[in-house]
Amino acid sequence: MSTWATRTAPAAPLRRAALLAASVVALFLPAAAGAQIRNSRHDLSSTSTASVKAQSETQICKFCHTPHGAESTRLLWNRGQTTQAAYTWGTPATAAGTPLPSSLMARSKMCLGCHDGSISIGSLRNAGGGPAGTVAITDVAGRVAGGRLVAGTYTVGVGGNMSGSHPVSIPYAGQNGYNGINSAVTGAAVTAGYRTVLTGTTCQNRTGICTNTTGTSGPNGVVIELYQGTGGVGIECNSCHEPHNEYGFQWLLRVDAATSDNLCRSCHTK
Amino acid sequence: MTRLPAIALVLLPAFASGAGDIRQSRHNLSVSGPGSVKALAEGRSCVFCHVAHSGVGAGENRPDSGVQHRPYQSGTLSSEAAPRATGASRMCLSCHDGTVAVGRTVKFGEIRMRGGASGRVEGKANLGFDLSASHPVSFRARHTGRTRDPRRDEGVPLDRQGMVQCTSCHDPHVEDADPQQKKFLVKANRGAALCLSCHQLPYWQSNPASHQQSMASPVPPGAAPEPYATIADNGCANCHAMHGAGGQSLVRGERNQGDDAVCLRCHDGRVAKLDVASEVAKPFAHAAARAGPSGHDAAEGPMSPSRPLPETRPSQARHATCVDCHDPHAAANRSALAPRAPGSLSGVWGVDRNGMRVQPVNFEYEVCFKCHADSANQPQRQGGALAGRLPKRARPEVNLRLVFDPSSAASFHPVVGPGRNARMNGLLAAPLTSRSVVYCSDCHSSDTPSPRTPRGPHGSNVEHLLAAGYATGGSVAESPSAYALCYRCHLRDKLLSGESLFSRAAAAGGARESLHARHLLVPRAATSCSTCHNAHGVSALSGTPGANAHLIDFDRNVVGGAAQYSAGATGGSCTLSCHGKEHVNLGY
Repeated sequence: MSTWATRTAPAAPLRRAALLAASVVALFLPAAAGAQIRNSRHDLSSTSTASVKAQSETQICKFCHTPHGAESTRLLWNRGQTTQAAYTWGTPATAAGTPLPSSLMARSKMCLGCHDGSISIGSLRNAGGGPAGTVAITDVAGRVAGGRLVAGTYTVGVGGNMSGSHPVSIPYAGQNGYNGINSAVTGAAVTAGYRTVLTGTTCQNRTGICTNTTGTSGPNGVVIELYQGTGGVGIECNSCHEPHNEYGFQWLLRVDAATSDNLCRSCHTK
Repeated sequence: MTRLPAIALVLLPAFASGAGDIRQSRHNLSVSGPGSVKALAEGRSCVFCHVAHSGVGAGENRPDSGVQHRPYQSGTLSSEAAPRATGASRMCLSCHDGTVAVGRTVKFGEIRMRGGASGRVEGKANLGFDLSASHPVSFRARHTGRTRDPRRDEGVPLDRQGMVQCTSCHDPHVEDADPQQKKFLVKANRGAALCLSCHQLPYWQSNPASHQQSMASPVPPGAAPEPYATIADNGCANCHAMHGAGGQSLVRGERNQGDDAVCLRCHDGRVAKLDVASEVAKPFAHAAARAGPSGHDAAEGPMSPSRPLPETRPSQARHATCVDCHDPHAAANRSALAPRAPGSLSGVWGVDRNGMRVQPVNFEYEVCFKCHADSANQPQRQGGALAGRLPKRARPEVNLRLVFDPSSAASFHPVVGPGRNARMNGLLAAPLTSRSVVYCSDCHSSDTPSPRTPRGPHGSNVEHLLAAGYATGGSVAESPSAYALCYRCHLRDKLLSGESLFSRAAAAGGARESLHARHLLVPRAATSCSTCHNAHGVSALSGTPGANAHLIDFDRNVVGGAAQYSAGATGGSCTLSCHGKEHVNLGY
């Protein structure tokens, strides 16, 4: 994915046009594109309709991004990564034999900082006006205690235990027939930014590389995204999830997985 | 990133769905599924088995059935199945052992299914806890020559631990990769391509076996059709079932039909040309019982501690099934000359003339020696009714390996090697000579030969499973039919004439007097061939070449006195008492 800044600003006029077009075909679209973070579950501001939110902080972006005092300029990341040093999967490899990693890529560890419960949701590099600090989060029974997610609905990898979850920080198979993945390109041809697409015959991604498109109708252009990791291009949390609720699907997914198989079938042509 | 092209494309009609993925299969349990088992409202199909988070193992969404399955057992199985189904097989059995409702998931709880009921798999798809009639799963094969790991390009995947799982043969996402058989097979099983990816049959293709090549229908007229239209294409499935097999070795059918039922279903003249079924229905036959297990076991053999064959204990049950003599994976239509084993006996193991296991057999008699040589449970050893109907020999020997042993036996019919008597020429039906060798099945075979009757000792109306009449006892009226068996080779007119060596100069000169005729035709004697001759032979333990040449082994039921024979260079002499007639060193 590109940075948050480049995603929104230059495309704004086009997006308005898109929304207009979308309204025309709304009946055909189970989930309208162009949803937003406001009132999504990642809207942690005190005014959000989400259940997990700040006690008084009204900003949304700052829970992950800050223009100054960020952990790194890249993504202007306003958070620490997870403090969990290693992860286990309950099995050393996938059914197809891909080894499962004990250390994860930074991109996934950004998510896991909150979602494995190791860091307070409100713990920020720049909590306001420069210094690091902690924004107060309202306790929610079974979900948040003391500012951290507690094991349950919103957690993944608590205590480093990723057992029962789809692997992340693993290479994209990139070879036909491997684990059901049916890729139009294989091996080294799969590069960062490569996206699998569910529908259509025209590639809807930045690099012009598509998988075979055997899917039925679905939100076109909504894609699984691959990221550069060590030793190749792989799957991270963001491959399936879009944390800003850009697509409006449940669980902040890029493709609907609440009512259809389209998300899974974007890669697994089963 | 712009959205415009994306939205434009949504207006296009949905693309025709590709054939053969989860959506078209009955494993699409979502509300859109094509089968009868499906959800009331759930639109997703993946979730019945998989989940991205909060599953068990590697994203598995199926609860554990928690039961202990009874795995397939076989005496020839060298691999050990895991005590519990593992990996993908655990997932499959979660539904297919009938324990866990189809709609029950780890993460999403119970997905409501149509029909209410228990939501459990029923009918043939419910394999139950007892998997002993199914191909084993969750094991790493220990190869002993008859199996191998499939190559990657064969599309029969082992799991990452090299284990055979349900998913080795079934792709649960694609129902019709074998368009004929369907059943979610990983690939078309035409010609047993799937089975042969692991199983190596040494003679199946190289021989090639008749079953491998047969263009006949795999089922008799009127029976339910098989997935493929010819026996060759239907492959292993002609005889084996991977689930719900009734017989040993995953053989199809019901156990209570008897072990031969699967063979006789076709080999009754309706599918296979030769009618074996009618033969084995005769009163004297090699046939398994019509019900229950025969006692045959694929693991039996000389080295088997639990299933010794030849049998080592008199109490062991005797058995004869089709597969004792024929290997259906190897048998081929190929003739041979005695004593060479014909194609019908290809591939089977036997016992050679030295008592050693041999596979495949080279000679027909090696098949017979499995049960008629060293076996401790031969009924002739046990006395009883059968012994009373047999000629009574001085020292009977039922080990036919010793009886026919050309290197040691006193005299013998030429089954293992040419006989001792070099002066048979002219007395035998052409083309037989003193150097000829015959099959056991030249005497022991059908009494009603026809183009539709199989060669070999399948069955006969004549006792001892003989091909023709062979009267025994002390008082028999000679006729062509009384000794029809003998006269097939031993020309009757020669035998009963002075040309036979068993003859003497006539008192008044002229033609020699046939002593065979004197013993067989003269009403006062009128005795059987078997009174003086032992049709099989006389082993070294039972006699000597001097006293038991020419198969002489008097029937003590008829012959009394010393009952001694002494062979000379060109004749012989007898000392015995018979029919009140005393012979004392009476020569010829």
